[in-house]
Amino acid sequence: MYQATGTVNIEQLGGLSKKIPYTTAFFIIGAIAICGLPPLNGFISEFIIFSGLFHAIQSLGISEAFSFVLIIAALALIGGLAILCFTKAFGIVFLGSARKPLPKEPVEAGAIKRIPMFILTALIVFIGLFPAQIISIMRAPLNSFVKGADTDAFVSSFSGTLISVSGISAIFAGAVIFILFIRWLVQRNVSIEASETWGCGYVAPNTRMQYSANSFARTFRKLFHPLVFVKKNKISIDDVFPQQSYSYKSHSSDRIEDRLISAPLGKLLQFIGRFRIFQNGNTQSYLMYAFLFIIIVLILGFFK
Amino acid sequence: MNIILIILIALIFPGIINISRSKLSGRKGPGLLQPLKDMLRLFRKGSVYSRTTGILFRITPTISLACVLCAALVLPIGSSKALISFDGDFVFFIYLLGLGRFMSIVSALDTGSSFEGMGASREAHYGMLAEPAFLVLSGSFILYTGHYSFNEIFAALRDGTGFAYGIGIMSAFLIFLFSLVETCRVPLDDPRTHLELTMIHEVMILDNSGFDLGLIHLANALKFAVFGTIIADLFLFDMSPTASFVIFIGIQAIYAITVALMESFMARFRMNHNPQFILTLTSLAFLIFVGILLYLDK
Repeated sequence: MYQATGTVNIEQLGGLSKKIPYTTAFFIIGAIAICGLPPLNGFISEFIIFSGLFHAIQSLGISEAFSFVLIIAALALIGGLAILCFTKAFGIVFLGSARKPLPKEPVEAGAIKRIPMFILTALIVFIGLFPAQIISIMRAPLNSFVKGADTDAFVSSFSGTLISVSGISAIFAGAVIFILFIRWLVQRNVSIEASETWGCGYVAPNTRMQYSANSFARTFRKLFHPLVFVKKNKISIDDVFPQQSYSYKSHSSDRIEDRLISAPLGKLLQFIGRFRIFQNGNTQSYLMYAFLFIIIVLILGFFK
Repeated sequence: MNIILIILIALIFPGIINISRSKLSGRKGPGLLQPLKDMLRLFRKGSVYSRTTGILFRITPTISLACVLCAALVLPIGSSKALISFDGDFVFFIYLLGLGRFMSIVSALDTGSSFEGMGASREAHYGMLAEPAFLVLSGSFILYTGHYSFNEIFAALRDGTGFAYGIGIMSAFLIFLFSLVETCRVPLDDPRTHLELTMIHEVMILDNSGFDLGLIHLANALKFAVFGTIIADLFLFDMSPTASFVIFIGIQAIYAITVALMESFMARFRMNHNPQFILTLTSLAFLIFVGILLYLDK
């Protein structure tokens, strides 16, 4: 993305799907997979984890059952969060129309750059549609990790379930193609027009009025308000016809990251920075350090 | 067989809601088949697409409908088994509905509209909060029955004990509220208001027209029928096919009438109160889970 557009600020992007269609296709398939949605590989992973958790609920004691159900709820919440996050990233960057002129005109990745992306996407789809084959490949590494357990019996019983999953995925794909075919049949004979996006009666929308990434995440940010800190420079414009121009900026940051990671790390770096005088770029000094080190070692050896 | 029955129910479900709502407000109301006729009319119409939109916008209604249809495939109706059943099929069920949600959010953002992103944002947010409720409820069923697929869970759940009835009623209430979140009805969202700022589902489909809009309406009606089937499954004990058919239709009708009652006598929540409401669903699911744990005395 950075190579194509020259920026990593998603609020400045938009409408890239028309300029870099291949990257867009790879991106959305990856996004669906990472959200753990069927029929791609992410769902298979999620499905295996959930199967394990549900079996644990059934077979273990009361306290384990309760902690595992909490994990299930958390995992479901994380799945939903991934959908929120990746619809935001994909929707704002690739869909709609361009929000601002970019530092350079986006260009589609060349054929050589597309090949690795294509291979990964093909694997995502393949694992999603044929999980049973992959799980049988996993049998040998699984055996080396889990000593003593009957992994073969487990794998062979579980691959039956996975074959059903690929069966219903195939039905899903068939249903999509079938409805698309009917849609094509019906739409052949009716008028298809192109127009502007419906602006609810407003006739002069511009591209900066599109929904932004910040506003898309707003409802979520409000809910997790204690954890996410938002910096805003609030300006109130009092005059009816303002004479000067105003600018507005908001930036949200993670409080846990700020307080627990960035702040102590900053202190540590500051402390270490005091020793920077030793690193003065002077070869003679470095030789002297080595010389001093050897002498200290020799003295310590002498006293042993 | 099941899927055909569910589709037929879906076709008249919005009609039942509309009729009950009209009767409750003292109007004569449209016929039972009016929503179906509206859908057929939409299917014959031409479409207008925004120049901003791309292929995603055009295929999303198709994918949404296919998602709900395939989700319906794993549901049994009473003793008539589901077409496809495997351990963990409820995970597949809920994630397939999740795929439908993902696509409709992306499609709303594809229009580059200043309104549709708002609905998309709310849909993503509420979906995220509601999903744990369903999976925790499934966990409770597994804990109680020891089975891992819809077919076996429902068969084992209806064991005739008073406790099973209790779980059934609590779960039916939970599934009912969950379905209101999934289909965006009162009290979360009012499909009748067309004020863009207060809508969730309706604002996301502002730009859809013609055949695609028909597909979206059909998918939404199907979602109702699918959740109604889950509710009915909680109560369909082993009985003759005719009896279970009558009870199935009856429960679906009661479900539709309850939705209409909610829409007639309840106001929509303020948007920022919705998350609290949805989180109560998850706590209700936890309550059921703890109840079963205590009952089983593990």
